[in-house]
Amino acid sequence: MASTDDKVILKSSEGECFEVDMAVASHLQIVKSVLEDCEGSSDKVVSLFIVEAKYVAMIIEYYKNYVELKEKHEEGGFEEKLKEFEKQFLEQIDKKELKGLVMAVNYLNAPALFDVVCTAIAKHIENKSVEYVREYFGIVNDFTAEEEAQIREEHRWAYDGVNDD
Amino acid sequence: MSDYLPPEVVVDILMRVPVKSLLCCKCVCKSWNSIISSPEFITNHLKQTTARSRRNPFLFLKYISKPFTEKSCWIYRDNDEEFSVHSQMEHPCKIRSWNNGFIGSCDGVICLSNDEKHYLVHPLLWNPSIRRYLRLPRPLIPCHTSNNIYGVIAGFGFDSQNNDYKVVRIVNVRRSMVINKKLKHPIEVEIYSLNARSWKMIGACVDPFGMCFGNMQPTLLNGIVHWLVYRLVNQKEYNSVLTFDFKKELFDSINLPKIVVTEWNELSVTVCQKSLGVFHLDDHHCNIWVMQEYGVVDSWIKIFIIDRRGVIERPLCFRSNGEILMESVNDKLITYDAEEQKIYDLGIIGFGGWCRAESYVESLVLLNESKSDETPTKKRKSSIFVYFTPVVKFLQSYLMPAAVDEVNIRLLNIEQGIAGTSKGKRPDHYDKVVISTNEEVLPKTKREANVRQMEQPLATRGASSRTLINYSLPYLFRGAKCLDRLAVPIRRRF
Repeated sequence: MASTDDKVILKSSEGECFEVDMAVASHLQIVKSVLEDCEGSSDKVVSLFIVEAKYVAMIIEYYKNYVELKEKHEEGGFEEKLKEFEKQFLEQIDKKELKGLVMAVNYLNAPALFDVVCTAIAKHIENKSVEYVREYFGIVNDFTAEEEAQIREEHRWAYDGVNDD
Repeated sequence: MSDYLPPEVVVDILMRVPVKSLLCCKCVCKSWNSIISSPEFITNHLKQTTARSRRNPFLFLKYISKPFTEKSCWIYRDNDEEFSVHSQMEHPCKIRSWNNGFIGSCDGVICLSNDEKHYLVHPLLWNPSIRRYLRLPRPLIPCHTSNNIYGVIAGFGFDSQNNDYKVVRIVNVRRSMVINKKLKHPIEVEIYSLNARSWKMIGACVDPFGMCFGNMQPTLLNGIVHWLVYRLVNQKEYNSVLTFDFKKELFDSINLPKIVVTEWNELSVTVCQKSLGVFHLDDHHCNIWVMQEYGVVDSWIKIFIIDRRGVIERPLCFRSNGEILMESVNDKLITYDAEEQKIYDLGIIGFGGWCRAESYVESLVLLNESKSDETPTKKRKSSIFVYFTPVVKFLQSYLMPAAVDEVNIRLLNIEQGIAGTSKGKRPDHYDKVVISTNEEVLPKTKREANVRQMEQPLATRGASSRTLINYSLPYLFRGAKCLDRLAVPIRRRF
């Protein structure tokens, strides 16, 4: 097993390299299993072929804080502190970027951050118009006008209070 | 990286979207519609919501069974920061009587008894979050409504083994009848399964504990429903808790703390932080007991004794933060903070003995079982029909006298209930007379309101009177032809 003091290099799709503590990188299941597969090898570079540098940076930032907070608040209060940090963390991410981030996190298999980002996207589309949701997810409406009207009619009240911004 | 999210990620996101928005998301595209409607998604969404309720605003249900209130069901956000209205719903039952009631709630679905005597002869499952309801078939065990001898207790819960929602209905004779030794009647039990869509009788328990009971509200904990009942042993009454396990379909009983076994004051079962609890009200105090280890009688401990004099009417239930929600003597909802031993006013009106409250979770359960044309909102029938004096005169001359008397009584009662007018007046002395309620009061000027439906007792008078009330007011007065045709079958009864 690699010692937690070890460093690992994560390489983004653009080829940018990020040096990270093993304790941080081990939260990314895919990195963890790659490293376990090449145990003993001196090469500690993991290429994340499809993940852009900005997302790699975000993911590292999240888990760096996650690990730090966990160490600092071993006796309790970790969850609240993490929640505070998550709030700050999400504030600096553009809504469009959330989609890219969720894909990256899904690919890297990092459950804690995946939950955070999915919740943020869910929160973002809450009470948004159907048209907005389609546009946000890049979905083409495949209902006929009649079909859509029928489904809308089933829960007409649910459309009260939706907005586009 | 492509802009399209893989389906499994979409499912993970949708799982975290609240119910109301999910209903809108159904018309985003075909695949979203089928994802959201699938039973797997409905189950997983519920699991996700329940698991997250610790971190997210907890919801809270306030339900009022008093008739003639416009809105009768409120869902509140309940957490440390706030206790505020999340949504408000109208009751789906057409007939509302004093005990028209709340049987239980589980996974966001409320089981209601839509009949006057609380016999659960017209059971209904209602999911207020998706505004859908499902009428259940009539139960198998009859209760003859002509006499008052029956006592029915019922419970609603989830069988986690078979992924099935079930209603249990127990029919016995009333407590007073047993005590006076007037009647002996074997306890009969039947179970409704939502999967099977039918009732079945079970012979599992024929009076195992010498039980007799009235209308006691059940409490659900870990798939087991609990009722407070009286055991009758050697002509003496003892309080006890009857339980029914929805998974095993078996009854059992739990003994109460010794001190309350023979207590005559008000008792009720509740859930306190995943444990069984008992509220015990005496003249001066509200005592709260908790069974630390489920099923172990020696583990009952009294956790709080609260001075209730002049303040507490009755406790309702525990909140997510451990505080106790109660009704105050002046009909307000208050919360008791046990650590500080302080009572706070939540600024919410309760409703005397008509209010019931419990923790609640929003869910999509019943989304596929109930039909959309059954949504209460679609049938926007006005709840209170307004009859003007000419109509009352018409009713008096064309209906049989007995029916008119019944109408009078009903009109007077309702008029008093709403306007607080005095007794003794006949309906034709009023400018307007109000009959029956469903949702909202019609504007007074709406003279041409459709008289689409009148509730019992008129409706029970047979098809003729039902035909009559199906006509709109202008139509009724339009011509003698119409009146004659209507009047014939009724006149025969004079």
